[in-house]
Amino acid sequence: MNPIQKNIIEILELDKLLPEEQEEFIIRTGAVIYQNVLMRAMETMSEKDQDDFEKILDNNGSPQEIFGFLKDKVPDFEKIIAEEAEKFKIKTSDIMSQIGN
Amino acid sequence: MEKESKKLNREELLREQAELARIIKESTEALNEAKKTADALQARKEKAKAEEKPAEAVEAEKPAEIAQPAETAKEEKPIIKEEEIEEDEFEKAKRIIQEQIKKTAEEESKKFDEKHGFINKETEKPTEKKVASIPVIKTRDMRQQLADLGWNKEERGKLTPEEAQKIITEQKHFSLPIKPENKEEQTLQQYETKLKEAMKAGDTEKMEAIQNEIDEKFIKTKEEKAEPAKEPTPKEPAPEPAIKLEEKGLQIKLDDARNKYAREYKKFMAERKKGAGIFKKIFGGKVPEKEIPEDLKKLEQEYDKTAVEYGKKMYADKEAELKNSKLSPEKQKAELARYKANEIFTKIIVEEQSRLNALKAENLPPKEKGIIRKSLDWYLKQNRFTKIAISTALSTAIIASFSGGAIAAAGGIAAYAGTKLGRGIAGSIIGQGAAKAYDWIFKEKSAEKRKLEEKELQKLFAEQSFDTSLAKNKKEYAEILEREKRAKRQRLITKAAITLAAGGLASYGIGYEVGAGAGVPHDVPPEQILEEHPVEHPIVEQPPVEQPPVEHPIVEQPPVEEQPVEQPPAEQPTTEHPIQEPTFKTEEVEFSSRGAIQTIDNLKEQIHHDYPDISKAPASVQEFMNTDSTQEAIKLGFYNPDSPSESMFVLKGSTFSFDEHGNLSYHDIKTGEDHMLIGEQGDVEKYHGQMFDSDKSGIGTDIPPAEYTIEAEAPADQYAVPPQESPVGQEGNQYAVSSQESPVANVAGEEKLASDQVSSGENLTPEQMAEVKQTYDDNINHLFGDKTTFWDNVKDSHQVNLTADKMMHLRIYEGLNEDTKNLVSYLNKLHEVTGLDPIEGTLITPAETNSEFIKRALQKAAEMGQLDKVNL
Repeated sequence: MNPIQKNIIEILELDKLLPEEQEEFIIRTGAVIYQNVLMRAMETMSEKDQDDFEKILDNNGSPQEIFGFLKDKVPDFEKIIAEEAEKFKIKTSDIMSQIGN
Repeated sequence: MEKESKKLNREELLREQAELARIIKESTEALNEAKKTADALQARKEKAKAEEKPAEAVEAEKPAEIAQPAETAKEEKPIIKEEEIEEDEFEKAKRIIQEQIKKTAEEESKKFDEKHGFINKETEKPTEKKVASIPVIKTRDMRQQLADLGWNKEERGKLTPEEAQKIITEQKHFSLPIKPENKEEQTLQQYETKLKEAMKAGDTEKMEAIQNEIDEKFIKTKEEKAEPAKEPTPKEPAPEPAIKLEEKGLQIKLDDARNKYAREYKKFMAERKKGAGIFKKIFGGKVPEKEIPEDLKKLEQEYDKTAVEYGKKMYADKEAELKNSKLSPEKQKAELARYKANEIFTKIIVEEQSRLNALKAENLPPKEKGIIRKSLDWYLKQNRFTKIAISTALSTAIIASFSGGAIAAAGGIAAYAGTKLGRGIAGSIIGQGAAKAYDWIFKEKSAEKRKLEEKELQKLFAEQSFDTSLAKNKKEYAEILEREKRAKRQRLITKAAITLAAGGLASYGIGYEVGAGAGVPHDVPPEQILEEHPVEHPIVEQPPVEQPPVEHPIVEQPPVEEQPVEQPPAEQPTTEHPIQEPTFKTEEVEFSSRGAIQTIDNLKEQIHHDYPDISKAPASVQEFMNTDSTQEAIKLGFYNPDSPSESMFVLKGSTFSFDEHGNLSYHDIKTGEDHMLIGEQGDVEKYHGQMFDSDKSGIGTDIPPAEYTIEAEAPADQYAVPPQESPVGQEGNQYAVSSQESPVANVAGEEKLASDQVSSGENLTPEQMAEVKQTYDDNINHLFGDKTTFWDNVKDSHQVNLTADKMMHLRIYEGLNEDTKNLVSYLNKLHEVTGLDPIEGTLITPAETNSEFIKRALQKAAEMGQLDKVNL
């Protein structure tokens, strides 16, 4: 099997981690994807939308307000998430599969 | 002075050093003693605190102790205290010992000076010899000598003239060996500084020149050192200094590769932006692969290659370390796997991606950078639960793609999540969590519903935390606890490493180096930064979810130092929910064999009997009393008229009760666990345990089944609870279930799976299980006959395209071979009859294999009495 296509579970043996460690893994993964998604979202937002988004942030909006806004204003926002997640997966698989195997 | 110094021969100095070592050893022992005392003090303090609190509060605070067998709990106690100990206790002990060490050192120094005539014993003033020996300034010659001894400029600057003189005199005069690695390490630090300066200035040529020098000097040094190490020597020199140097060299290489790539990336993006205009919207910000210049691709490859190199080095070092440990080969292997998934992954994936993003962000206009900084700030402010929910939602795509799922085919990520929810095929907690978290964040709904969902999610995620319910024996339980402790420490180590890295490279921080709020590095995962900078981000804390402590005995509370902002539980708003005086006492009934509705009626009657004036009872009790029993059963999840398996299933002896505060719960006699159903504030947590088809209709019904008959074969010690509408006192209504319908108790832990996935065969009689097995064998024989190669290859395969989920959804086309066609048809037939879907793989759990799914589906068919329909 192409190492890039190898399942991340096998590569990192995630199933052998403690549930808490798995949770940590998810959080770390999510944090990186959040950054990557934001970078791309920002590039596609109009100035006005950026201002509105900033206001929500200044008002400490809820997760629903933040992500709801991004979903409404950033074209293909869900696609961006999916793409960034996929990119992350490929990068992780590619690099991590070469270590210790 | 020289005359006096000559008296100090090398042997004497060594004796002095030995004495000093003894003092240090004694001091360390004293420090350990003090630490133990601090531990004991802390334990006493906590005990005293606990005694002041109501019993349930104490239980909630000490979940580990509740669930642990007594011996294990005792063993674990010191470790737990070590994690939880208050900083001031430690600091106090540390300060006392440090003062003691300082005092001893001063006394020793004084003895030394007296011995060598540097101080007057009577007056305690320095003699002429001593005064004369202290230089007033550090001369150029002294600085040069210090440099020759390996002291860098910064360190030389910090030395007093007296200290400098002492170092020169002692090291030079007695020709004490100067460790070559010390000297190299200092020089390498200088190189690092120079390299960082060059990076900052964007001077590529200078950076390359420095890099070449580093390669030349340090990589060669390492190789040269490796040779003599092969020669037999009585004491093999430790290879550590060379390893450290190599690590440093690798780190520099990694920094360099990252910077080169980021610089070219920024140039490319700047160029692209100039001409792109509206096109960036067409592409949604994504750069098509064909547009990326070859040079940039090569730089990225080089960067990845260096990251791999770094990861390999970490892995090899850890492997070597473990080989020298006393761990068994299996444990070494497991430890190495964990190290890879935790430390290495964090270092070369998470950290590197964050640093790269920070560099890329430099290209953004100031306004966009500011918003990104605020977005990260916002993320940092979220509590742990929200971060988990966001991460899980964003990882939905990863979970899908990890298991080979096609999001696009499902009509996008939301549809995928929705589909998973709708079909109820999320076979794991994370799988369910991903879908629900996505729904929670993205779907429009009322605030009330959102709050309920949030509670459900919190419960779901809490269940993901460490749970010993799966531990089969005491030994396994102890091993799990040991792993738990180790994991905690590993995280702390990782955190410390990242924090150090962040501290040294603060200028890489995304947004902050350009924004107004400088000071917080952002090149590490946000939650880790949060842990380090809690004060800068005032948190709007969400109230903690009430969790019955016995349900999640070992749910870990993150160490105080790790989760500073999430520790203090939010106080309940007492103005809105005044604390009920305990005028109402616990009311409890056993589950009735006549059904859940009858059970509710029984509880109502008992409450009514004991408290004729219900207006004094807590609000939740009053509401319970005023709600129709059937509606109550539906509300609590005891009865689901829309499902074929409409009835709750519990063992005889399980109880249903209100406590004095108005919390409604049920006690499962099989697991010994209490499950909260309605909190005193009216929050409902539905029953999610096993359900069964009490009327054998196989379909949902709006009307609760009217009659049941008791069968003689029904096991005496167990029964299920059909949701009969049974007014108290009504005669002629007898409810029970047949032996066929009376599933054996659910095994511990199974309730964590979606109820429709639970079909372990435990619910079947031995005869039925034999029938299932026979059907399984007959069907396989029918499908594949003697041609077992195909079946052998696919039956237990976890390969992405050969799992049950993939096979079932395979499109049948003309050219497909017969065996595959047969299997695909059979899997679909099983789905049609039982309604079950194969469990998809998730981020952490493998997908269900064909044989696993077939067995599960056949068992389900047997439970439904439909086995003949899937017999080929």
